Amino acid sequence: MAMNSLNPVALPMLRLTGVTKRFGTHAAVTDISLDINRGEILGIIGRSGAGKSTLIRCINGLEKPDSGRIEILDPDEQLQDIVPLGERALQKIRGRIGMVFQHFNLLSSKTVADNIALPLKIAGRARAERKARVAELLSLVGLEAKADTYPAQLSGGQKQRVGIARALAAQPALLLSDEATSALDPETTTSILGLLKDINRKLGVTILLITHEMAVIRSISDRVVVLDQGRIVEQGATDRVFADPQSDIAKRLLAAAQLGLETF
Amino acid sequence: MTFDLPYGALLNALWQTLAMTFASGALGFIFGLPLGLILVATAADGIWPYPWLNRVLGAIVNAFRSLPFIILLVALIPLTRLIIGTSIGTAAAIVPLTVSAIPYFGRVAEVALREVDGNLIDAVRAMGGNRWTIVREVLVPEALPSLVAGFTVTLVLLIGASAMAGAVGAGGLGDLAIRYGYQRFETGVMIAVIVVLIALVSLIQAIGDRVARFFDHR
Repeated sequence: MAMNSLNPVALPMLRLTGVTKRFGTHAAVTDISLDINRGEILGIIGRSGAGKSTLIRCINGLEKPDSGRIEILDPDEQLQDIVPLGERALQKIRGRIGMVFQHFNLLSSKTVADNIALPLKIAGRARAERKARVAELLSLVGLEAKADTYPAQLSGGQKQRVGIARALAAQPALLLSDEATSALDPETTTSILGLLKDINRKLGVTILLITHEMAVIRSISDRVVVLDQGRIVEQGATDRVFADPQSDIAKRLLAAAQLGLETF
Repeated sequence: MTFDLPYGALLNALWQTLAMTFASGALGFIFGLPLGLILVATAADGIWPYPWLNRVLGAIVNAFRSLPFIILLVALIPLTRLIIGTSIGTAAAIVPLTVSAIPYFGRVAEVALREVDGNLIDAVRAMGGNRWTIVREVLVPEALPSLVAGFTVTLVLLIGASAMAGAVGAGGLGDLAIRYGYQRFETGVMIAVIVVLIALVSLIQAIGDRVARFFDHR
């Protein structure tokens, strides 16, 4: 295809090289190198405190790594290192990355529609355009009837749908999901993961999700990276890691997941 | 039975109290809200950390808040003359009332703004929002119910303080109570003033509660 002839070696959506971040003397993440390919769903799994959140916050520049490179594919198909960027340049980059949070982080003072429109407002889009895009997104996440509702009146699953719609508003190429289903019950988790899979397939959005639940990884990600004490201890295709886990931590997380499945 | 009260004087005093309270309250809000925002933003974990500025501002606010209002009233006479042209009357009393309302509402606003969930600030930063976006879209709207509740408390406090402003000939209900009720032993006037004050405070509180509820979608 034309794109491939211009780019004989396909560039990844995101490339981390030797990313290290310390808080005081505590090393949160150490020497993380990782490619996230365009259009894939990559899961990063680890127990709490493994450095997952720090890593994801480094990727959109909410935290600055102490060393290493974080390169993101820009609209000109070039990898751009965001680590040396200042706050203003980072704000532009963040506009191209969507983020979904464990506790939704919706603004209680804004209606569902205004929450979803906020990234567009920040991007300086005109009111009419925002309105049209919000209507599109509401129908994508199946909440057309809730446009003028305030988040407090929604269920957890509905709140996360709003969170996802908001994250997609500015048409990001990359979606970061920080434990997006961890506050939800199993049934709602399944429907939210289904929605994320749909978005990945229909819109071609690359998804990086972090979780502590193996079940989430199994149902959605193409590839999995296992993080322990801030380091990558294992990575590979999801099927392979599930069939034949190499690291202790992957084995343990898997055992916990199987235990969990039995109780459901 | 009729009440032989100086209704004209009572009405006039009510008007003067309302003018002093709402003028200084409005100015206190206009200057106190930015002050509260700066106090929250410049804190070590704020969106614009400047700990030294935070400490200096905090110290100034504390200094003004520790002065008894009656002292402030006298101490500010030169400033009042400069702004209003005279240090006597209702308009003149608005200057010291405002000067005491600003640091008071500033602290009230600071507390309200600090209660806003930091995760919401993170969410808006993750969308590419700058500090101004955070202030406009997160801090102020999310804190609005608490800001309104705090403003109500400030208004009630100013009604009390405005009574003392009678000392500089500002008039108002407190002044009326002292001159008629206390100095001339007209108990009827005293009671009438108290009844009006209770009604006024209750009304302001009721309206404040309603407005706060209107903005509260949590």
